[in-house]
Amino acid sequence: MSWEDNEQMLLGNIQSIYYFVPELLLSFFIFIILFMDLLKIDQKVIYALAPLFLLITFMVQTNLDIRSVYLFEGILRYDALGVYFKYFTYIVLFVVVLISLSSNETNTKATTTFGFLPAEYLMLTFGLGIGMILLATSNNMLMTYLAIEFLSLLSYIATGFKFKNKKSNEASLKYVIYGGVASGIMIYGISFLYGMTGSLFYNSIGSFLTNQPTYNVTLFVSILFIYAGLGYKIATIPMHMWCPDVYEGAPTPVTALLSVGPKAAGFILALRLFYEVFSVNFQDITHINWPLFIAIISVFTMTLGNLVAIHQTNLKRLLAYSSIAHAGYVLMGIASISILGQQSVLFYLVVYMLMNFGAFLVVILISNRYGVEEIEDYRGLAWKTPYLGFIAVLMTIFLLSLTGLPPFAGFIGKFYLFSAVIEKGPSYYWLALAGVINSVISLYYYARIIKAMFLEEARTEIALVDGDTQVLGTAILSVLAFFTLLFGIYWGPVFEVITTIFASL
Amino acid sequence: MIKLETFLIVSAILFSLGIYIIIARKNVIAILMGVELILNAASLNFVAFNKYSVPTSFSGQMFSVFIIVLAACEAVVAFAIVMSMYKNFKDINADSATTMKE
Repeated sequence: MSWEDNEQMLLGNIQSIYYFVPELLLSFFIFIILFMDLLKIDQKVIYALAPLFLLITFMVQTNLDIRSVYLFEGILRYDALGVYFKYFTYIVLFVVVLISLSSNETNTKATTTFGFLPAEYLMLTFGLGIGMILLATSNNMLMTYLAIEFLSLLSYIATGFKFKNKKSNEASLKYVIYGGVASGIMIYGISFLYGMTGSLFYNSIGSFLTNQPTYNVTLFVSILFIYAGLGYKIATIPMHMWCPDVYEGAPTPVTALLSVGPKAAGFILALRLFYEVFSVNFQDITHINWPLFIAIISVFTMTLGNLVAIHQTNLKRLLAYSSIAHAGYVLMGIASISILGQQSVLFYLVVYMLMNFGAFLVVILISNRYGVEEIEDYRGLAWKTPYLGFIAVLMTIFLLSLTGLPPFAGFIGKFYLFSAVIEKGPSYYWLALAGVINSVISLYYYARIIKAMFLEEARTEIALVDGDTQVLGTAILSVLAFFTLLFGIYWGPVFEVITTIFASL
Repeated sequence: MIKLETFLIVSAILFSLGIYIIIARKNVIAILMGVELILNAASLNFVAFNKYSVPTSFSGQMFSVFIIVLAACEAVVAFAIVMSMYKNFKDINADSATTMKE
């Protein structure tokens, strides 16, 4: 359905506001938070209200019906994919706010230790959520660029939020340089696409490309350049260099958010660009065989991520490389250019959110207690106290799920990705083979952490920094682990929802 | 009448210079200037394409105005980060920020 055929699908500015209320509400809550900070209301109150605000936004969103329309004269899409991504975003923000509350780097304890500003931090988190939604629902190249920059600018600040910390500062510096270059290259590519097609709207670009009969080198270059910006958001080769440094240097809750939120938004953008603009009915219309390019990038990305992760000693850095590898796995779903490919990408994002948040939350809880992040310091963790034993068991669940072993959710996610690739026939078997080999490699470094926790003895005694019982953190961790297990055994309902999303498109 | 190709060549030169500066210079401020050059190259492209490909619409000019605005935003954030880098490292050389290594 193109929008020229159906005028009713195109809503004007005033009509569109009805469908944009949740985002406006979220922006309004940002102002509320800043005003509360201005009025010197207790920071604990502000922090406690933040999950409530997200809950209200979520409820408002559930009251809106799901239609397939274009908002604001075609700038934004409002469809099932977008609506479910909004739910995803609110859940991500909710979990991140709770994670931030349980981390000593970003809760009210940090205000006394290094001048942490909770209201500004919450503003950044909520802002990142709005940016994610705008990026995932964009239907116009200008909106895409604005959303990418919006996300990037907030991420730079959030990364450097521990502004007296050298690592955090260095991370944000590297992020700002890589990000500036990547988005610069992306708009240079967009400018050529605009010059060829004469429009910035996805639909018009798509219909222009449909009529394009032959291979066109300008189109190739511009898609390559646009991929530079996209690949930087989802951290694939060769735009992955910022990822380990930023993940290591940023406060851990920010790392958790960056590794899930903007990445997921980037994948939704990839789905929209490659499945709706650069292809029609799952047929590549650009004459550059982009599925093959994505497949090659996918193989290189996961291989590099996994091979470099083997040598890492810092757990956050290891998880950064593992997240690069996972971006490679998800790209397999995009390269398979089929309806199962779309579904598997979406399913994997949900599963990835659960297990990645879980793994980072364990890092947070241990670093709260002992102030350490090295794998070396995790030796013998499981046998220190029953509480730490419990944490170690949950960490094992997340790590095995990240590897993709049954009966955990990661296995189901990978199963769908692989079946999407296998479905394409023998010409794609090499991609599936590369994925399987990489999963085996990844087992090595994930198992190294498990081995350190259970089978090795601590070499040196680590001093206890903060012995508080972390009720909230442990509770979220248990919930995340529960869902990681549940979706490994009973994933039907989630997959059914994902099926309905694409059935309605 | 200047042809479209002239604009595209100028913008390609600007783009290449920007990439060269980013690779060659070590001073963070200089690197950020390289990024600005890339943004300007894209901006010039948009205006030129707007005039020659779609003279009836303003979308390209609008895009270039947005690029200018966002370049300013990015400069604000980037220079704030550079300032705090100067406080932490007493230096704004990109090579000196190496607390994290492979």
